[in-house]
Amino acid sequence: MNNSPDKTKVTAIKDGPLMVEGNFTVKGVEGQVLSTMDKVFLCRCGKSANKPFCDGSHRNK
Amino acid sequence: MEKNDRSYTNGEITVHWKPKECVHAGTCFRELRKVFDPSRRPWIDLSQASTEQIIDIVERCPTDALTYERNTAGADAESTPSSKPPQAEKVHFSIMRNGPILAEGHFTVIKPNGTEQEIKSITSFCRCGMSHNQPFCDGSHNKKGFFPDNY
Repeated sequence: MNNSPDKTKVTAIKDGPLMVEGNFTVKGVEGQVLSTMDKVFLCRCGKSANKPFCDGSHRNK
Repeated sequence: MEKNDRSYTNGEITVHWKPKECVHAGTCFRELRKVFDPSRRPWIDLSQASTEQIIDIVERCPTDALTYERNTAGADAESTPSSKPPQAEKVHFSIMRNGPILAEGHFTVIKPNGTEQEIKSITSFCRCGMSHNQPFCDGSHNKKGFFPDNY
């Protein structure tokens, strides 16, 4: 699954978050670095209390 | 030139608008609403700010949706529209205030139905859940309201 660790891959999980893997940074609205990890889950439902990251809120209607 | 492309001038500069290039980063209307007002028609009114203010915003548009050229008298050959620098190798994700995730770089997107799409320079991902072009932003957050970053 992790065939080329440096090529960034964004997977939109069905009814779930964006899974981002690879060589990337995430910056917030003020330009501050939020993550330098090689794998994050980003909210795409608008409901997470931990935006921009997913907290599983999409499962709760 | 695409059918919906538009050009606006204030005499000193001409601003070109290419809606197909827009990824809804929102910098233009957030930073200089009196010139770039999506609720107005036409939405660009260059008389509302100074040329320097307008150039500053156009240069901060992350795509070629907004470009400008200086109107030099009778020197058409010199007036090539500005263009944005090429993107770096590392992929950069930027959270846009009350808007999408801007993604700059070369990467692969796997959609919920399993199909893959190669992104070579820039795109934006929906963060509000309301886009009709998932997982990409289509600007729906502007119409329906999405304000998670007002504090």
